Amino acid sequence: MMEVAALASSHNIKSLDPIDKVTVLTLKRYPKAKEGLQSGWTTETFTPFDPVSKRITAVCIKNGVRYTCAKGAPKAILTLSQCSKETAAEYKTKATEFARRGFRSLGVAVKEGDNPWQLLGMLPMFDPPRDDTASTIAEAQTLGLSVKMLTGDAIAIAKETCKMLALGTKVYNSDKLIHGGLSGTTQHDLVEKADGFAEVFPEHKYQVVEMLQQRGHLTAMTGDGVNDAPSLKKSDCGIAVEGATEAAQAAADIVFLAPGLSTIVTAIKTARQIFQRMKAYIQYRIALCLHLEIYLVTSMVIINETVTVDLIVFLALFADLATIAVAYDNAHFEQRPVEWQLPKIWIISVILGILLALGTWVIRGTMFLPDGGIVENFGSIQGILFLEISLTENWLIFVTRGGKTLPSWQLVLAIFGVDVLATLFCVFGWLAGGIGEASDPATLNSKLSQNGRTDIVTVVVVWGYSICVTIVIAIVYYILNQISWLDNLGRAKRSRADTEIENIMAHLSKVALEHEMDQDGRGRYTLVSKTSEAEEDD
Amino acid sequence: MTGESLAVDKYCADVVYYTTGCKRGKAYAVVTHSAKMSFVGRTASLVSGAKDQGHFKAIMNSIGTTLLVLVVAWILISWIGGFYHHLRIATPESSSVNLLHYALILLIIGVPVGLPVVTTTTLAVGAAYLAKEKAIVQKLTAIESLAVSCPALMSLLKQQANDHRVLMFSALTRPVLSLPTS
Repeated sequence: MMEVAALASSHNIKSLDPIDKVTVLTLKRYPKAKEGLQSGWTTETFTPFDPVSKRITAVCIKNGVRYTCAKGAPKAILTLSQCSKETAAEYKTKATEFARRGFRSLGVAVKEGDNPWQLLGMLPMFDPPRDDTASTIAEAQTLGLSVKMLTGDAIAIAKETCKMLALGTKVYNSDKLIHGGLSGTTQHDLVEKADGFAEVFPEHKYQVVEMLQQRGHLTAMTGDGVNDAPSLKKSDCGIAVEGATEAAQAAADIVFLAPGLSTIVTAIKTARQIFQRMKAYIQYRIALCLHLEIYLVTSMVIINETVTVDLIVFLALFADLATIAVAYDNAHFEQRPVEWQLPKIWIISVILGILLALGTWVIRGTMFLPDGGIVENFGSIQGILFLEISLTENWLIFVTRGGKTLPSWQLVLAIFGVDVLATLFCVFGWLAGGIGEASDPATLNSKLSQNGRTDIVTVVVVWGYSICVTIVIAIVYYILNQISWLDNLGRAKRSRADTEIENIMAHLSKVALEHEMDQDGRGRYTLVSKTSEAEEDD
Repeated sequence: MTGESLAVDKYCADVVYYTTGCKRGKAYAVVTHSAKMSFVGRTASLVSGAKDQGHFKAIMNSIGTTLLVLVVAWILISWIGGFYHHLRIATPESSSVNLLHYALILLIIGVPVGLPVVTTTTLAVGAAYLAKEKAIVQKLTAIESLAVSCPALMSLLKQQANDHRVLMFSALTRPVLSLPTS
């Protein structure tokens, strides 16, 4: 049988039809058929597959006997051969069974000389998913994603595949779902709960994505064909897989060059790490803004004093320059989908900002003491404030990035570099403006320097004090993250349903505007229900 | 645009779309449209057309706007404080203690100029890393969407073309043969 099947396969080795390729490759497992094939066959004519006859026929000669081999759709082969009724019935049931289990089957028959056709058998074929697909899906699910399969295959095949991939088997026919006259909410519910859709048309993919988005989900979608392009564009993150058409690649946000889906897990993990870094930075940046705003405005209002503009510019520069290195920072990835949680970010940032401002006020307050306060030998108010502010602000990034991973050397080095610069500013009194402006209740500190310089001992004390402030802030930050209501604050509510709107929209989509002329020649518009596409097909 | 798998006959003077595969025979063709003008190109430009600003940009905008409003509020407070301290608008010039300098200081610290720089750099570094993993990011903000996204739809069955080793019988999902399954 395999011999005949192989004979009735495409003879052009270079461009083997996928099905023929499998047939030929499987020969390896049938040594007898292989031997038989090598024993002098010559092909006379070869008729390739065509949709009308639904079979491939090849006329071959061996030892002077002419054989006609046929391979094709089970039905076509069955009508070709004259076999007993029992065989035909058995053949048919077998074909249906294969079809139900999702196998695509091919019949094989042979004609020896002018004898009647002889039915040889059937080849069930199945298209398995790639080896790594199942593990990829399992991993994606542990990362908190719900995976749905969209396939153009028949339901039976889709279910079989779902079983192999350890996905659920709630697979629906997408055509029935969209045009089946279901109400809007039921449709949305089904789309949300289903594990997959079979017999999917391109426009259905688009609709599935749209429905999920209407329910408040963010969707990522993979695809490769031209007809996937609109839905790739529609989904929040379209991914064109390896070998995708150019249209799909153009529409996608991310293009995979490596075969298979395993890259998607790497991509998701990396994306979540990047997200973690950005979130840490934004938290840090908001806290920073608030720190200086709170401190400076209170200082302006209460003691009519500010840090000079020149130093402020450097403070702003230092705060952002070093933290660009956060892009190279180590980060962990969360096991569930991450979210911005803006209210949480703001609340924590405000608390951190107030704490930082308090820290700065304490150091400013001590300098009101006549015996020097924090100033050991000599120092300038501007320089010390500048040092304290830039140190605590820089180290705040270590707090907001979290302690799950160690900071990378790039980040540590960048921040340390900025710290050294800030210390030099303080020690040499650059831009500190000498003794500076007098505050409103005058600062009667005996140890203020005239030239704006600060001694090393004071600098060391300021460093120590800043470290303490950072530790306190870190503890507060840790405690804040333990509070569960704050931790879940601002997590978007997924799968929200607006039953009425969904129903109305579903009805509206079935309505068409019809324009007609009455006998006076005046135009009239009427609302009619759209004829569904399914009816047009019949 | 369907997943039509049946081969069709094309004769002289027929239009053949770019990316069409030839099943049998050969022909000479004249290129009538190129790149963006082709059918596929137009499809691509159609789908890559207007799209809303995206999730990430919206978040950044909201943070930026809030900070800006806060700055204005703080400036107002500092000015009111300044009135009580009898501060002048722009004098003394050498000192930072006047109303305009206050406004300048608060604007410098309150407007997060580094925010877009750092977030974009972070995204770009991440995209570079992903490129090493053979995933090319065409739109930086897609990374953020990927991190936030919940359900992933996958057209899984399209992945199998290269792997026939696993099962004894295997075939493509979209064969050139269209066989009735029942």
